[in-house]
Amino acid sequence: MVEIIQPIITATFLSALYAIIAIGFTLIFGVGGILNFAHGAFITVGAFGAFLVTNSSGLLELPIWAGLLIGTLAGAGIAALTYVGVIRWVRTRPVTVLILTFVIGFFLIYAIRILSVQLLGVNDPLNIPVEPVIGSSDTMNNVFIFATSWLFIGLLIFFVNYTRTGQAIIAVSQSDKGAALVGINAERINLITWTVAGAFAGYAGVLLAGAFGNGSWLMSIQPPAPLILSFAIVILGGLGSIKGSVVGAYIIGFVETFTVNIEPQLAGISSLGLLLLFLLVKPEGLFGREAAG
Amino acid sequence: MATQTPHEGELDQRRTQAVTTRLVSLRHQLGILGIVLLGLVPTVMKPSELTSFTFVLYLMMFAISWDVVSGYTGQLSFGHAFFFALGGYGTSIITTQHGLPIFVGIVGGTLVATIGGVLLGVPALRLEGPYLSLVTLIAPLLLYQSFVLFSDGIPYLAPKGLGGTSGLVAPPPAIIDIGSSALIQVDQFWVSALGKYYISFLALLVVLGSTYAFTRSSAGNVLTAIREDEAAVRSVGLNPAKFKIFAFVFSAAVGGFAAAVWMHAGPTAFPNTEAVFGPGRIDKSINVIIIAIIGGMGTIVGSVVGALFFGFADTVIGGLDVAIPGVELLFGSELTIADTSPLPTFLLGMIVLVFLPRGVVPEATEFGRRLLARRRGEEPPPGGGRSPVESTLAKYRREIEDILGRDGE
Amino acid sequence: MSVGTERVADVETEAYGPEDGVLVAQDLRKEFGGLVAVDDLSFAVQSQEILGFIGPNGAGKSTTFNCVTGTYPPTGGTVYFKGEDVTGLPAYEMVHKGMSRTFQEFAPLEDRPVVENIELALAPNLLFTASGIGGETERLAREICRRVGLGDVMDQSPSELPHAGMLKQELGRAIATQPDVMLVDEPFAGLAGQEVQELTDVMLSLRDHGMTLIVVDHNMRGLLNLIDRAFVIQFGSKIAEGTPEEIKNDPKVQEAYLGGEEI
Repeated sequence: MVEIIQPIITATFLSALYAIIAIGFTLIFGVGGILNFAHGAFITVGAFGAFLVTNSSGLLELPIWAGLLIGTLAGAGIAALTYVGVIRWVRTRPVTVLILTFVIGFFLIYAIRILSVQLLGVNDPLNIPVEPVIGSSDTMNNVFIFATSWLFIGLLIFFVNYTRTGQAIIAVSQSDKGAALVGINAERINLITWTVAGAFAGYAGVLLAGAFGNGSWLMSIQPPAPLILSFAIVILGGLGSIKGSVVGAYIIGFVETFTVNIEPQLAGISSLGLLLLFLLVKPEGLFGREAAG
Repeated sequence: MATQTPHEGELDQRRTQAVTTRLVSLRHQLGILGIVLLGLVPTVMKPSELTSFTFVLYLMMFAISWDVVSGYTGQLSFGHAFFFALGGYGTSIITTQHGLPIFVGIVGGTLVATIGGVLLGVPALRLEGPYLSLVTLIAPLLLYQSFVLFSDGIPYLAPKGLGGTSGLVAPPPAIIDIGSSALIQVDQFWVSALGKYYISFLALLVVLGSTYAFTRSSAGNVLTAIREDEAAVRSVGLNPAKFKIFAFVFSAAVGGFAAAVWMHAGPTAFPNTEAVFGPGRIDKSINVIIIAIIGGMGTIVGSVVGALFFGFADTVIGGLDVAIPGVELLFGSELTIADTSPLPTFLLGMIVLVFLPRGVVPEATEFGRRLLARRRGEEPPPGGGRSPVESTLAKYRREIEDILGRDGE
Repeated sequence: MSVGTERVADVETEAYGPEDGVLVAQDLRKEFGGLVAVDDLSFAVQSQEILGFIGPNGAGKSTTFNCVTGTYPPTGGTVYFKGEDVTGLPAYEMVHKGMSRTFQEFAPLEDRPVVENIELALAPNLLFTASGIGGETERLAREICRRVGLGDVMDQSPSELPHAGMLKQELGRAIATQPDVMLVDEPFAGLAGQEVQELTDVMLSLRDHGMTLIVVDHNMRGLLNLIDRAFVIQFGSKIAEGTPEEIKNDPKVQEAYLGGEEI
């Protein structure tokens, strides 16, 4: 019994976290048509931000609650900066954007590696200590992750569906030009989207690092590889769909948790296999628009 | 100009043609000169410098491999290290675990990579743009995982295993080296360095020759046409699928070949995950993209120039033992510019992407064309006008003004 | 004269065999969802003929030819080309069989000059080829440019071409595939008298060299001196067929164009 219940619990709370990451990824794609490869780096920035303000090797030694806040803000800030400083200038050149987000992502994680090792005296950049938010027990921490993730997902869905800005986001995602005609500033909407996506990624980064015991400069691409998982999730759910991301996150989260439970070496492989299958058979995903050629 | 007679128009055109013809031949002359200079590099370098420069030749080959598929057909690959890993591991396993000669290993490694090219080329037919990029990005990560998964061995194929993240224990035999395991044993370092350089140089000539011939034939025109508009290709009786798959296969073969030779003749070549994928698992794939972009996508020559830039920048940055001001104040310990490697090269890549999207070689050609025309006392040929850099900067400025205006609303 | 046009009113029952022309469509049908764009259309094109394929906007002309040239497969019916069943073959295969077309929404490759746009059409569908290296194809491409009247501008970028130049380039591109049958989509749209005459001459000379041409247009303007026969469709079905004169006087055609457009 216990062997089944434990993975179910793990999958349930992890999936909520994956959903948060994937939603940010899918939002940026839905609104700006940009596949943001730097999204994984935003996760890492979040975890690193928390480390900076909560660890004796960092800059400050605040409680982890402050770390969660700072990590979330760091994710939001770096995402906004990426958009305003680089992406928006080349928005009309999709190939350039694609490569740029890729390079920016690696620039960020290498910067984190260099900062940790060269300046902060972290011995192993694969092991950047970040505490769980509720340190008393794994269960409590999981409940916290689950509850807050769903709170954020709910808030986002409310925001998108019931506020003026949310409606503007939907309008821009449907037609850039159409939105401009009714006086929506697509530039501002894009910036909001990037900031929200970055905040979600940063927040997830802090919690992920806490749940796995530590952060790492490669945390977005080493198993369980949240960046790669979120690719799988959004492809499964359909690029650009928030609902699809939540459903996809739960499918991927459970598949991943159960395969790892059976064979730890398979971490990352089962969901990638699922992703490849979907890409070849049903690239538009479960809830997506027709987007593949 | 509006009252220009037909006769004058013709004359103008003939002049333009003359300039173009002359520039083309000049370009070929420059190309041959460049290759000769590359061949003469060992005469001016110390053996240790030569050893690190030898690696630049491999960067050239790796970037050319990427350029053939991504630069020419526009199918962006974000995981070209997939092919390098297949080629490098392929030959290492063939020579060390099956005991076959180096030559067989190189051919075999190239073949293994070619099969990988088919594996990636087939999805490329169904998937476009971002979806394809995702698949190419995931491919090397899956391969990485399988190196871990099969670290203890695959029956018959790799009986002694893939060695996990730390790589294969037995290094592949060198073609020329000081040690006793090498095919050609020498007793002086400089002879070995020289030998390695020229073997690598030979491999580069093979890669350059084959890719140049392929991309300058009609088939090369078809590849760039696919990048521009697939429907147009179909409408003139050409099957884009065939060319797209082949671009992947050919690119994979080139990358695999380069990596296979690298294992036996290159400096610091070990069949481990860090060497073939990079310490960040994807960074080797990024580096080749940056190199090809700096030099100019879809030109082949651009990859050669880009690799020189990249290697040069790396060396210069590696030698800059200058502390970055202000860092010590914040963190309590100092950071030199050399310590920040590879951030400056990433930064350089980003700057080129934003401001010189066409890359150095096409920009220089354009510049040369205009210079040549001006020196002959003529109007610059059409298309001169504003350079992409100027346009981009102007756009940058306009948009800043736009935002400022908006903020005032 | 009117006898001929009345007879075509009941052509629905007419059946063509594979040998009835160089290009034959039998009961061609294309549906998009529930919408019928081409409604069991049958026609035959004779060798070395210049056929005008006319119909008001939205009549199904483009869809018909997208089905015939393999842009997408028809929902039903058969296409015979030179006596062979070619229904549903992909576009590039049709080009190999000897059928090429120009496009109304031309998208020239902006990254290369006009002559290289033509050169692409001369490239063999082969991966390994010495073609292009010796400059043979370039010479041929230049010759084609001169023949369609692009001799002065062939080294320019297609984006610098005027509208008529774009049409000529499309024509050159189609010619370069050495077709037996060429489908020309709205060749005279937006052209002035002199340019119409130039293009007409080019097409007439192509016919004299053995080519069959199908000219698609939404009205007869400019076609009178060019076509031998016209075929008029509306709502995906044939409404008239005959010489240009017969068509002009056909009551059904006049009714179809009553909405204001000029036949």
